[in-house]
Amino acid sequence: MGDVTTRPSGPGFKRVVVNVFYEQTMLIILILLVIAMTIASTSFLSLGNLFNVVRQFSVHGIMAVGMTIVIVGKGMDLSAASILALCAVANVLLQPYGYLASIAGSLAVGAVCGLLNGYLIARVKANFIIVTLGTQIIFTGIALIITGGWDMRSRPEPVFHWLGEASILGIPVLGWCLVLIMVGSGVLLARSIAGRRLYAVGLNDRAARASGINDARIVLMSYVINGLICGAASVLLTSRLPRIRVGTASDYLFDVITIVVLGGTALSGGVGGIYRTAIGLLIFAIINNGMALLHLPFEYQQLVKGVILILAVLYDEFNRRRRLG
Amino acid sequence: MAEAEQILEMLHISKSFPGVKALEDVSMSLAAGEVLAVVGENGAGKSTLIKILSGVYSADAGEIRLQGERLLLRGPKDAIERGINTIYQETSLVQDITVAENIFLGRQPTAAGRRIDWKRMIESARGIMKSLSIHLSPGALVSSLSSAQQQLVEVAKAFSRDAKIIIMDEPTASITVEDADNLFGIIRKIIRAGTSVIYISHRLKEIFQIADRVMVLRDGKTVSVSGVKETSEGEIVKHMVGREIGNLFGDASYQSGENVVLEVRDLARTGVYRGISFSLHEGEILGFSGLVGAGRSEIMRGIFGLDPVDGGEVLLGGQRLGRSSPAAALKKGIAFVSEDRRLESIIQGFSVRANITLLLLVRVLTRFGLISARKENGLAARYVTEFNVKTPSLDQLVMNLSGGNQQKVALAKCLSTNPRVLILDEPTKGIDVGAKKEIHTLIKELANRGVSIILVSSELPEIIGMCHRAAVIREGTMVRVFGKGELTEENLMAAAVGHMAGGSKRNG
Repeated sequence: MGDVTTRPSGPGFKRVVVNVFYEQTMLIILILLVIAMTIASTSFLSLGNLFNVVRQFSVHGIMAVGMTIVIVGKGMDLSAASILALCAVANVLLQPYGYLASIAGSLAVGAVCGLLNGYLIARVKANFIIVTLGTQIIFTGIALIITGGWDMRSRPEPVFHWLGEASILGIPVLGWCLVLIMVGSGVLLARSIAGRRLYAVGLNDRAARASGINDARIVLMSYVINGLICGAASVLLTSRLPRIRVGTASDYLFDVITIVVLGGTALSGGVGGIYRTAIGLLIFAIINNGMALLHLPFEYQQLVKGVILILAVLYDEFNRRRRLG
Repeated sequence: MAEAEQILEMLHISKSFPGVKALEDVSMSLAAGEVLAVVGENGAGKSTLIKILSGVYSADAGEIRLQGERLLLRGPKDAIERGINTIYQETSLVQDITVAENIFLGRQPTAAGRRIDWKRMIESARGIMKSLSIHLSPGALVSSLSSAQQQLVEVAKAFSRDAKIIIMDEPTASITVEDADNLFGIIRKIIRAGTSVIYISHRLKEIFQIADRVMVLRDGKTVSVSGVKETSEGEIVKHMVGREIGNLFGDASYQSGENVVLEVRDLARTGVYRGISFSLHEGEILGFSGLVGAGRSEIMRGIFGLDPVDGGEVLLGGQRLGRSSPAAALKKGIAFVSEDRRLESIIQGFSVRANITLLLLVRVLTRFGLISARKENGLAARYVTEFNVKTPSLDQLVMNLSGGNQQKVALAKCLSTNPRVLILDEPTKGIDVGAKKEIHTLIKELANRGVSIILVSSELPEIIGMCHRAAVIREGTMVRVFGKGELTEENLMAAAVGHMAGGSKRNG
């Protein structure tokens, strides 16, 4: 009925809307969450709380970047949190030799751990779940042997204190680091040749190989980069926390995988990216922050987190079927 | 047994798939205890015929009569229950359980209660195999058997289900001559028991060894049915290919240059192909003909570096290609379009744009070394226009395009690197007539521009209409290279099935 000119032009306007809805489901959920939290808790939107969230989840966010890269390449790194712990131990051990040495040490340990994973998965062609399950135990074991099972005290080196506590333009340095790493790796993943090849390998390694892509090298590099990123995350972790406990690092693994899957990076490989992970991170951070603000008991928080991961996996499966038509 | 009972009749069976008439008014009959061979080119309709008989497909028209009664199959299980058993090329046995369990899968003899009566099952399996002279242990794990032995288990399984008809789809395709002889002995035992066999094979010699009658299918129609004593290999070959070619491919007056661009010497891969030697000239289209599974694709994959080779060498422009990998081959100017569009020649989950530019990303970078969206779109758009790819946008995922347009994207991708040698494996398989014609035109244009092309095709008219010369591969060896004047369907088919027709013999 009515005026032709006011009708949306082109075929399938409805389909476009539906597609946008599916593509941006998580963005819509994020916005709804922010609105809900603002209503539910007066302190949610306060700067103090928001910066607290940034500090608390910057390490998660950085690690999620590495995990995104690995998952885009059709893999997964179950040892990521153990690499984080081992790198943090290396960082603290090397702190007496200056901050440059300790940062370099963290990155080097991360890279070596990633190289081991990548070698076994890409060259030996061992199953990535089992390999990283194994190295998870190995890395944690090494960290425990070094620390003797005790907490490690991070020395208040001025640089680390600045990293962990200071602000630039009113925003925590940790937040800047997170944004920098996310934007940088996001651009590289979406716009570099290596990034494009990683997507190709993740979608179809055989076709990638037939197109002259060295798929084994690409997969190997994705694990090495993930290791490096875990190393970088460990520097921020030791800057923020005065004590490092190897055992508690394992919590990060669950959280990081939830964030990536929640964002919509496909577990089947080749689909997703840092933008999606950023949204996943925000949703995850807000839900966790919300549960704390609303004083939900720890046991219930665990329950909620588990349910979120399962929902995220269902969302992933739903998207996969939708893509395949 | 002149007046044997007709156990099965197929009357006026037709079956279409979108765009293809797979079977058209096919009729046949099968007597009890008879072996009927069904032969035909790739795509002649043999598989469709089997699948209709085994309840996988239902026919669009016509009827099947089993012992005079109209037969309506609602699925493969139905067919088995009515006594029609099919043994496919790929084994359907469960690998991790024993021979006896496989034979009685789903109907194991039980003892008191619902326990499987192992003793009885093993004994029955032994009895069945003994009656067929199959010498295997009923307790052996299927995974420990050779493929020939597994086939025998399948035969025993079908036989034990009181099969009236056993259909065998190229049973000898992957077994040795001795194993085949053994199989024939068992087939003779089966038919003596009154079971009938429908035997699909490409090997004409076998047909004369084992079959009573032979039916030739071509383009979905029955060409001939004759007793093996009344026909000859030459006649069968003629029936298999005898179709009008027409001038589908226009003139073949183009000329190939003199320079050898690619030379392959004695290329071999253990158990797959051996002694492959040929040279490819500038601007030449060299066909590779042969039956599916003869090793043509594998040879091409070896040249391109996708699969390892065990011997021989490949020279490009007189220079030996070193350690081969697709990356190295592409860099040197060899491009390859795989026959597998779903898994290999393109990335289905990538957009049209990302597929086309995949090999040429270095050309679309900004000065910071990142992919420039503008340059990438420009390059992709140019190829989409040049190759006439029908797509709503460059962002469209390739999986949503038709087969023909997917193939154009695959070609555009490969040609973006300006290769000197282009290897095309079944480039027109499964695509519509219009796109096929466009691709044929494109191939000729490329050859005219000096690109050297290898065209692997199972369609004889395509080989004859497109190629300057054509090699025929049979069972991993190069039978012969035919020059332009010798490119006839009879010659190619005879070479492919291992029968040199008398008329085409010539003196050296």
